[in-house]
Amino acid sequence: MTIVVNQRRCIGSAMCTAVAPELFALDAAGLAEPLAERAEGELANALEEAIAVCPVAAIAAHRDA
Amino acid sequence: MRSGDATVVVGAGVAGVTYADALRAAGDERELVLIDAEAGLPYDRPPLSKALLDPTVAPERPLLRDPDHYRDRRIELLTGRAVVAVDTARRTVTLAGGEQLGWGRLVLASGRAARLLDVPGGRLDGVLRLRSFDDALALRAGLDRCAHLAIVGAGFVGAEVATAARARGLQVTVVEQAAAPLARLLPAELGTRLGGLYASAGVRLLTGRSVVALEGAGSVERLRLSDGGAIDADLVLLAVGTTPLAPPIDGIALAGPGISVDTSLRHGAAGVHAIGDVAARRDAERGAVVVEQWTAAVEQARHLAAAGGRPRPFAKAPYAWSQQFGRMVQLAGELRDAEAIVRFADGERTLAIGARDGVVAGAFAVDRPRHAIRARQLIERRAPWDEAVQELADAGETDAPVPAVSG
Repeated sequence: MTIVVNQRRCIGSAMCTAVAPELFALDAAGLAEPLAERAEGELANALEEAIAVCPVAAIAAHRDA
Repeated sequence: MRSGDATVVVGAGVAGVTYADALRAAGDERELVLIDAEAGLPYDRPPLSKALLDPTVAPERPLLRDPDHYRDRRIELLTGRAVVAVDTARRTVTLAGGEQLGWGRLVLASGRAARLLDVPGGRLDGVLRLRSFDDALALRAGLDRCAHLAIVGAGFVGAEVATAARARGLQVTVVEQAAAPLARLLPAELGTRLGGLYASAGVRLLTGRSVVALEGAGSVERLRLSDGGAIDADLVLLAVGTTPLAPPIDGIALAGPGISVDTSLRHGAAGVHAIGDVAARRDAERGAVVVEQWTAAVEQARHLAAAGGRPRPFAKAPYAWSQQFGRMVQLAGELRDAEAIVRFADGERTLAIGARDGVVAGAFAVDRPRHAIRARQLIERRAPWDEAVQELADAGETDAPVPAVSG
């Protein structure tokens, strides 16, 4: 799974960093940024969690072809 | 009557919908019914006090999920149907009109209603509340023809609506009974800092005063205050807190702050649970704890679904964010009764943490999102106070810790 963050949607609620600290941090502007390009296995579950809890649907996973 | 092992969820707000999704994601294929008194598709509430009030944004219902989402997951939506009774012995809920549904597991996520103000004139035209999508549409329409908005209550809703009204160029006055904003959650020293944001946004904030009457010929024109003063306003928003919404359980109407649950979110032993802002968790130290935050609704819902019917204490620290006056305000844990507070200040950007029993217990931040998140992590692992102060000081780069309140 490729991690996609739409920073124009992100409001910096930081929910993703709470459920998936391995995958997300806040950048200097306080917006979410992925710490990795892809998430597999256990991390793919963490990515699904982050997508589920984001209040503004700013995170997506692109399934790799 | 449905099959006896159905899961019935009362309330299709973010708690109920998140719970239903999490059950399905965990592979639970049993019958699942989401009931809500409000008609239409479930929606999310945070945008109601923000984007919905922006005249440049189309006033669309902020759906939690598309209609297909429920169909694809076989989540049955019964909206526009009020639950009027719960029977835990027969394991049924009764809907308005008399229809009964059986359940094997019942989750009450019925939420809260915005309080009215019990003063003369409290129901005049032009006196609004904000809880539902329809409320937001009415407030938006009111703002379209308003010159001076008065908001009663300086909590999250009051501050966010004040922000939206100022963005429209309206004159805004906020009346708060307590000495400072967010007094239910923050010690006065930090609330006063929030009050500074109101002032710099051009909002008149009157604290330590309550509203004793609303006056007007037909529609509201004036608020009378407890100090003898008066404010002219052509629209009034009451943002003075909430009351729990819940059906009577075994014939007993809800009393108290919410549906009483244990730390595993169980109400009694009969497969009945409560989540979200209607749940009042018993806590050894603080009695019944109600957390009225979007984050808690989501986290409790996911927790309960993951517990799969086994008792499992919910232990997440409360966490909320609010966009106020162009700034990101964040609160984590519990600060109001903190024994000591250390503040890391950098102009209006603030991070404050509070101690209780030697561990870091709460954090408050204005435009310090990364530090707020780090503080929340420290709170969740109950980090010793000195360690938390040191770690945040190290992270604070340009900040010097400023002892603000001690003892």
